[in-house]
Amino acid sequence: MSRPRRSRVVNGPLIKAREPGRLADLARVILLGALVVLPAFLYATLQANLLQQRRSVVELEEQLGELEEQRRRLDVELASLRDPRRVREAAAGMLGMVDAESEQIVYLTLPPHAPENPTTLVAEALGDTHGRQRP
Amino acid sequence: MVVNDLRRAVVGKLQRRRLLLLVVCAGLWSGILVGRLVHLQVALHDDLVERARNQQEFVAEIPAERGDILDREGRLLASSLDETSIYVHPHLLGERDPAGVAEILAPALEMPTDEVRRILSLDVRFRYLVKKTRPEIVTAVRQLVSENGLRQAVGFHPASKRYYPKRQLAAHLLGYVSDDNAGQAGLEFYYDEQIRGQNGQWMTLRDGGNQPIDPDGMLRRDPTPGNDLTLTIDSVIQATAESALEETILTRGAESGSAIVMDPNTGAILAMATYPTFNPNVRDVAFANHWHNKVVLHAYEPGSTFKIFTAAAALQEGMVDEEELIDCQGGAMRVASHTYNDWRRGFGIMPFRDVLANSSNVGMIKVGLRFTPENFYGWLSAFGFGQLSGIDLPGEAPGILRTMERWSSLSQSSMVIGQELAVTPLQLATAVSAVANGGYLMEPYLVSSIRDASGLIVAEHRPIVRRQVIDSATARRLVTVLERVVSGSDGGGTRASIPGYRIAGKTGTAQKIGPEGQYSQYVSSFIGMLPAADPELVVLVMIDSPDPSRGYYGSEVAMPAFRQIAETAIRVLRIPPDAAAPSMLAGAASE
Repeated sequence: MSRPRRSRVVNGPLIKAREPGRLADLARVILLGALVVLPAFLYATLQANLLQQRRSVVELEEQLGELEEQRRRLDVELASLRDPRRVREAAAGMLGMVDAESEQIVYLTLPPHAPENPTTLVAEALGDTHGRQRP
Repeated sequence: MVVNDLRRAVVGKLQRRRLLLLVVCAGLWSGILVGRLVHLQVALHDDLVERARNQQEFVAEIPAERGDILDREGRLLASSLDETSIYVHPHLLGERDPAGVAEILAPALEMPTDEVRRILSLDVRFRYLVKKTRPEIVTAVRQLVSENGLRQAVGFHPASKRYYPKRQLAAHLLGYVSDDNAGQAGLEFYYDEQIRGQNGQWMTLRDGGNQPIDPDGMLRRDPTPGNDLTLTIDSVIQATAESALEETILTRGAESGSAIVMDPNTGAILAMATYPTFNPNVRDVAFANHWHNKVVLHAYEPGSTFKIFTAAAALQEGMVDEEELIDCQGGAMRVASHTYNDWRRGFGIMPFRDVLANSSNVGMIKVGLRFTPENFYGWLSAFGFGQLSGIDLPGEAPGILRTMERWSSLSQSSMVIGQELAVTPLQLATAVSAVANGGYLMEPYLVSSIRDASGLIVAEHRPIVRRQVIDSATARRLVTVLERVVSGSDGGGTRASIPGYRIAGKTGTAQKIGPEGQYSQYVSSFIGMLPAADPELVVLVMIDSPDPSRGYYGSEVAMPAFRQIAETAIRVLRIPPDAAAPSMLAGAASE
């Protein structure tokens, strides 16, 4: 009995011939994918950035509000320190200051072109040509 | 076969009936359901939406910032600051021991532990622990609330608190606000609509524990801040007027007093003071009658200061001139059954200018009785007596000027010298301003401009002339006569004089009925205008019920305060003297 002859498998017809434009197609797909993914990624990044910026704006606005409120408090405090009654008490009580007597106040009629330095004007008006002021 | 057919027919009929019944029932049921749905979705729609909103939504009011009040130089007189109120829902404390919670919160609240425990133990759903408190207290309490799981029971409510940084300065005209920031008196009340702003809203959804779900909120409408008021008042002149008034009242043992400084040419009020006063930051500790602005609310018998208007009318009508000799009859005169006396005996025949300078009642009554009652009443009305001046303050009193039908045989002779009628200090100052400015009765005002939060002017006051009462020549003549009160040796008015300035004015010492029903008290006053050549200031000082043993004449009680106020005002406003400046300069230089 003779051994059966082994038939030879021919795969040739099953193998697809290499297409010349395949790599180019692949590149096109990758490019297309990149065109879709990259903007999405970019969008996501921008959104995250935007959120971050919004948060910063809110924080800065809060900070601004606090500073504004602080400024208002300081304004009120300043106004309270500038209370004429308080200033008078401090001047007269702590510093021993007194009101100027009427005789100590000198009224000057300003010439049309007053000198830049008011001390000069006062000195001239008082007849002191050396620029000294009366005590 | 027939029986079967019959049975089938009967059963079929029964089935059809049952089916019909079922269909009818189902139809009815569906109809009821649809009807109910229509009722809920259409008829009750708005109501249900509202109920759902109330249940799910959390709406908080954001208080608008009340506008500032500033003086003419932009100095702050009233402002609002953000504060926070801390409240508690005692019923949401659950099993927590109020005493334990009180021990945690009390030190941070800076309150006695017993007081906090008492509030926490109350059988109420809501109670404030502290209203409008300082930021450092709020921060400390917030931290404790968060650390101790009290967020459901303890809450924080934003609020705005009004501050008057200069304390009692101009308190009577600024007024004050209520706890919910509504204007209650003074300018705060009169201009409430302009300065209160519009509250904002913050709306979000809330969870079952009544807490907001989204802290950033679903909807936020920002509040619109109120407008700022800029006043005609000058803080320095105001402070001087108040301290001069206080000093006079305390040294003279008086009951109260008022002072007013006015620009006669515009009607702008530069200072308006009343004593006793109060601090609007803590007004509850003051007596309620100290809150009244007597400059506009208190009408009094003006006495001799009123002779200015009798003289003005007589000069304008040509019934008298400055040089006409008037017999003052030694200082006594009988009208009907009443004898009028001068403040001192011995006044004889003197020119009319001296009658006014010496404040002779007899001489003035003689001139005043030359008017017909109708004519005299017309003049008093023309000067604005018995009418509101139109100032931008609430509750102004019109004073008392009775109509002629109610006059007695003594009325005209009494009114000529400032009796039998009542005027407010504001009316008197406004009427004298008409003499000072050449005859124009101005409308007094306190607010010069209103600005919005961005600083834009939304309203500006322009001087309003109500009418011309006398002509400028008559006004000039009268001012010259009134100068003699201060400068003349017989006027007794040197206490008001300021070197370098000519001052015209008139004293007043009106009698007043005391608590025992007798004329035992006095109202001492002085009203002056300066510089006399072209007045830029009218200053009135009125002292009510000085102790007679310490002096009560207007010249001794009110004049020194007038001088103090006027001196400050001329320095602040830089009003040059109407005496020649070079001579003052030379005088000073030669010392």
